Amino acid sequence: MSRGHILTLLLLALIPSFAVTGYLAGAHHERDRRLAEKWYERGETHLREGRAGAAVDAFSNALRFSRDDPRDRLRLAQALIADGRDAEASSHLLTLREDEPGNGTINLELGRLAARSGDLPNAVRYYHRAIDGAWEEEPERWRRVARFELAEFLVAQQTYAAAQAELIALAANVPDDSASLTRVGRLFLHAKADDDALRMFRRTLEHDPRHPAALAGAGEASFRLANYRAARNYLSQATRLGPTASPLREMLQTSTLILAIDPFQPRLAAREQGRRAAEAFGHAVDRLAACARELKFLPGVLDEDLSRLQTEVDQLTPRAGARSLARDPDLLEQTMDLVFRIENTARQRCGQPQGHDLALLLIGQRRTGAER
Amino acid sequence: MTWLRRAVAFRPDRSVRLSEAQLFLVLAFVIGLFSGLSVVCFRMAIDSTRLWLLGDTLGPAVSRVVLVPAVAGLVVAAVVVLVLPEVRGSGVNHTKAAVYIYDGFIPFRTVFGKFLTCSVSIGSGHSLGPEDPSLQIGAGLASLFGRWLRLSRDHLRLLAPVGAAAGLAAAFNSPITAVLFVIEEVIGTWSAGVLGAVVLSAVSGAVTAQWFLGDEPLFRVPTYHLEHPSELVAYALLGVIGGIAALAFVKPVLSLRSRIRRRPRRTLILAPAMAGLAIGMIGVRFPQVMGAGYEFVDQAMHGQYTWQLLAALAVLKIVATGLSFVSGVPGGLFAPTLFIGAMIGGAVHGVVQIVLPDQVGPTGAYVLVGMGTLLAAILRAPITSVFMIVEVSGNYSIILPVMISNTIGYLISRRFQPHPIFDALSQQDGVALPSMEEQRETTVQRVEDAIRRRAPFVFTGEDSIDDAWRRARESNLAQYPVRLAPDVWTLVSVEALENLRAEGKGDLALGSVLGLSDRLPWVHPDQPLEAALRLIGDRAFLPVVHRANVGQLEGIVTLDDILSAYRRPRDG
Repeated sequence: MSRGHILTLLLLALIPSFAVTGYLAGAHHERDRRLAEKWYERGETHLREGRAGAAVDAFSNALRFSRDDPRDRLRLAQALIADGRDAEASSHLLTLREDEPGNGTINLELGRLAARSGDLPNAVRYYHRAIDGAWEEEPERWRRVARFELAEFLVAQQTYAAAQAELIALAANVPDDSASLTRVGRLFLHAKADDDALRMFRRTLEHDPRHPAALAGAGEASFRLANYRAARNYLSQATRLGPTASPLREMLQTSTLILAIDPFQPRLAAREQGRRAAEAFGHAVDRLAACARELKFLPGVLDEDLSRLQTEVDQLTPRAGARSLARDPDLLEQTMDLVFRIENTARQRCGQPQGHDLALLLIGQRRTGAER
Repeated sequence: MTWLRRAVAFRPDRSVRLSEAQLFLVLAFVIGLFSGLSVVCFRMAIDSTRLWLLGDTLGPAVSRVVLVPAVAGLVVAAVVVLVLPEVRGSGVNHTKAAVYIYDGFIPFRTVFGKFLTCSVSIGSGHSLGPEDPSLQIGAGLASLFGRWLRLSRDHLRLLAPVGAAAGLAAAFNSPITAVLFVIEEVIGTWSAGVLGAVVLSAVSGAVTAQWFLGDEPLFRVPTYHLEHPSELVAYALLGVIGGIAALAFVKPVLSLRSRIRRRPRRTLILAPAMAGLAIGMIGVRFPQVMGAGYEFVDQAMHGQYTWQLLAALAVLKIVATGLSFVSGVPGGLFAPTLFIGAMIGGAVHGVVQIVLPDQVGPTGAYVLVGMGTLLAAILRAPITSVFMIVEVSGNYSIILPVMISNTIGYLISRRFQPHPIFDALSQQDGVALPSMEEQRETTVQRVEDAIRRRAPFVFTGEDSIDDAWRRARESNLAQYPVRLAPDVWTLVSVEALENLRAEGKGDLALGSVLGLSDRLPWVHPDQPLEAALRLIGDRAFLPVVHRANVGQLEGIVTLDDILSAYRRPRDG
């Protein structure tokens, strides 16, 4: 047989060779696919039943047969996370991210791992990629999940400015259901954005005026914003609806007290102003004396400030009666100014006040903020 | 039906006439396709055998783990010892032997036997790999086709490496690695004639394998970047450890193998079974050491093992592979080498991470570099190992650490083990194959080693015969170089000058009487001395001219000069 014939036969033999190999390869891949699926299902079962270690083994087997199927590698990574093996999970996720840098799920998991290890820059980076990334199912819901987790992480890290920025974006995208709005409101509170928090709680109350958490949150936000009338209204409604935490009850008490003793409340009669101012002066004097007594027993503590204040008190006491204060607005101002300075100094020197002293301190702070 | 009549009447030998060189290239392509198909079937056979014998879990049942390698070893040994002794070993040496000793002849029964026995041995859990046998399968197919086509002896000899490249490319899914390995380790030369065929077959083999098995890289590693320059010290350390590990593998293997080969036949049949039993017992606790182990390399790459376990796996794999290979089980060394390197790389990473937690890259990078290091240190293919790592991972950024670690590992291995493992194995088999490593490092003698000092005079074509004769008498040379033109040299003898003067032609210019038919070929100082030897013929000397200016004479070489240079002892 000539070379040409032999070469032709060889070329022709390629056809059945490819056909047979193709058939065998098809059967081989099908078998591998079935085995991969079998191990994948086992892994899912193990995960559901809380057996993370067994799930890792199962997904590893699945990955072996699926020839690096991203789905199996992702589930393996998630199983490793469930098993507390974050470093290994991260390695698999980074491998996946090489092929799908915009995959929302992968970036979200990486963000969670980074957050768990306190890695702020990477956590922010991955969470943002998750928010901007591609999601196969329920993209809006998952983006919200990512935003919430990121905001919570930033609040926990006390990076309030960044947290507020995220929360503002979240507030624009959150659905109008009470739970979500309240959750955002609480995060705003933790992020020291009281105005935004109050706005979120009010949004909630528009839908559900008797929402306990929203009422409590609105009360707390109002209290921090020194709007004690609103705080009292919200907090009293909240307490009427059910048990509230101790700090909230204290805020309610303080708000109520402030409204009762603040001589600068609008539309107060002069007599009542004078009475309140005189009462406030009395409380301040007592506070000063108690603080001085406390400090006298501490070695090496200077009490010049308190002495100076005491001198002022001594000078003002003969004139700080209720009638005089009611007749003389300037005297009232002067007296209340001294009261606020006493309370402030006492707080710095002798610790956080309570009761009337706390109320007077907050009244003074609000007044100072308003004057500015 | 005109087309049918034409098809029937087609006579390829009449209408298509290919030269043997053209046929060689076409055949290279066809060999690549068939080798690719064979390797695909081979891989599937190994997978199916493993599934059948050990089940579909990464951690098989204890009874299977212990018994299967032992029984399979016994069966394979019986076949090898009693029926197919030529399928023993990895296959690389046999391919080289085919090229250098047997004129490219590899019996087809070797291909068939290798396919079957390695499917069983690797699939049953013996610690060997499929790449080397794939290389031999491809070479065997190439040999078969070459014989069918009655190629010349020269082409037949070169066809085996062509097939080898295709088989290796298909097995590794990496054509560049295959080409480099075959050139570096089998052929040993970058001849343009064979390079094209090797590349063509490697590409077609790899593409065929990718068609059926997918084109994913062998290993998936996140993009690597150097965390800190001091990390290179860690990679250098990896190179040192890799070099030592290579010695720990190669020396015992060579020592034990030479002893076992002298044992009676009964021992040769039982040895693989005993090796299988030992591997099975190791595999009960450490199933990772069984088989090729690539799935476990992937796990190591993703940090799923502690550094202590990685170190243990490296040691155990050395033991297991040594047992399998030394006992005579057919199978390859590529995969175990990569596995050992991967584990060592991961272990080094684990230790470095404790010492320098903020300055260490990902585990996967160290695993990759470790693989390359062991490949360079054990198989002594440094160029192949660098490119292989880049190619199988698709990650070019790893190349600097790979080069550093590979070089160190290679040098350490060379220092304490002068002969590469494949050469040593050949010597044990009583076959004196040329060592590619030695060939690479043999100092090539050059013309400048033989050059005589510059001739006292260089005449030009404008010089008169009288002038030339007068100047020639001041020296005792019989002949002198003459530059007739900027790129034309010839020579003139004193006797010829005297004769021309006697004829009264003393006033004439040399250029007018010396013909271009007497022109001398020239050589350059950096050319191999062999070039001068081929050119000098009967001539008195050859001019040695400057490369940038062939009119500038550097010196002359005579035949005596050339032979003296060859006789002189070489350095290194």
